[in-house]
Amino acid sequence: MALAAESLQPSGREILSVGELTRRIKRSIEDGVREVWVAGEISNLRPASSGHLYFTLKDEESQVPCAMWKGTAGRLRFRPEDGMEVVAFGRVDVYVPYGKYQLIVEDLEPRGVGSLQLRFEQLKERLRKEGLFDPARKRPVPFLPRKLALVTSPTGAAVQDMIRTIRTRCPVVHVLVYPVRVQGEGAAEEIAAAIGHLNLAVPDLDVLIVGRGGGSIEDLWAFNEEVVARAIRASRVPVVSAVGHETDTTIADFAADVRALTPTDGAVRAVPKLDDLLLALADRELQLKRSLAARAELSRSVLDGLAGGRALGRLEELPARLGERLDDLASRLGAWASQAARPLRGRLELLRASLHADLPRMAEGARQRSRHLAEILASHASRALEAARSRLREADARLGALSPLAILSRGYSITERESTGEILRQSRQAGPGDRLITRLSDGTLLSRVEEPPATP
Amino acid sequence: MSDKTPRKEKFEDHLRQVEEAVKALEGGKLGLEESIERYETGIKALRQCYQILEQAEKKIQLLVKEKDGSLAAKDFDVPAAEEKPRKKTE
Repeated sequence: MALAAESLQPSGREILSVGELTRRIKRSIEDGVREVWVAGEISNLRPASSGHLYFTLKDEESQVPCAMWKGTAGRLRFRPEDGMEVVAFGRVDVYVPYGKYQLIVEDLEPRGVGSLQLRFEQLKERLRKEGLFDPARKRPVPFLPRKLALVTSPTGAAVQDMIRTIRTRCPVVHVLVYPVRVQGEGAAEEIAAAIGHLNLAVPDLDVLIVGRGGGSIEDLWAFNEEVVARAIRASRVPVVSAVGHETDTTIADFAADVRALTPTDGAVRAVPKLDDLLLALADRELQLKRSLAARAELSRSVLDGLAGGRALGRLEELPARLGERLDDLASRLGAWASQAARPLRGRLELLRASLHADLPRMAEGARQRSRHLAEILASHASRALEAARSRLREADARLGALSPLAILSRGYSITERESTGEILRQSRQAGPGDRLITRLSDGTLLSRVEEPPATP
Repeated sequence: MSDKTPRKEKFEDHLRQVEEAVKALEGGKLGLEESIERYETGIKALRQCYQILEQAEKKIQLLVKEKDGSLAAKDFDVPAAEEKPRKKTE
């Protein structure tokens, strides 16, 4: 027997139904508190099987139940967790049947740290746990890449900087540019697809540089996406990441085999300096020739020594010593022989006599043989030496006809200090008065240093 | 990870051969005949280093995706940097 009392007539007790009370509360709240921003801590977070998200927002004083619909929750740029400080935007809704109110959250943002930053940390941690950043999985960049690909925007300063750096540093590299969008919707997918496509379509690709110029965290965001990190890790070709400025770090940087600080730095890490290479090669050539010449010289002096007759000297002494021993032997035998072996002694005498006669002849034969041997050795040696010399000359000539001179004819030259033969790489290796030999494409110049080194 | 040896000869492998030849020759423990052999190996590897540098392509190309998914290459022009002033005064 409820008395319907819609108006607030102070005619005694006013008796409302529960529904009416709740509706009043609902109106009051919904009129008074429309859309609000509320700061608090997430607790009791529980996703429902429906996909909607339920949690409580609380602080020291109070708490309010919250609900976030599936669609809204899916658009969040980070993953909410219990204990997280957030700011929620939404409206209060009173659910009349239960007499309960809750905040229907339309947007949620982490407090203190930007949502993008948080998302970055969360993804980085997840991928790190998976082992995607494991140093053991990183491949070295080849020393001299012959084919290199840039995955970047075809316009803008970054690609031009990279190409110019490569051309200046090491012009002998074949550079391919795979154009992609480096920011905006779908950019991450494009970058990941480019990496995959290059791996398939260019089998002799040596290295990939993935990057772009500087920008805000939103601009660089494509390089923080999971799909790019996975594509980099899955690449057979080593990947250099070269994103933004020195202070920018993206997830692509962690996933890559080599991390460069900027696009230009990426180019520097990917290719060696051609000048250094050429000098190193010229150096080695000189070392090889010098070592071989030294070795040949050593052999020659040993053989010279042999042919000089030292060995013969010993051979000549042999007959005299042989004679001594025979005499000694004979006298000892003689003592015995005179006792018991006259015939033996006689034979011995004969033997000795004949030996004495033969010895000079034997000695002469030995001497001749050793002389002959020495001659043979000497001629062999000089033939071997001559062969070595001619091979050296031939190799020299062949070498001379090849690239080193071609490179010299482009204006490069090799300078060495005459006294020590050391090749000069730095101006301070020589001082006034030093004589220098400079090898140009068609010959050498002998010069003397006039002034102390001047470095710009 | 497959251990397929790359068919393409690597610059660094040849350079290493040169270095090994130099080291062996400078060691001084080799006979004359062996020294000559090592020298020849070293010089041959050196020639191959130069050859790789000479034969390397110096192209810069932009890739274009064809309708069938393959990649075509066309020349990519980048304006050259300004000439730096020469450091030598003579």
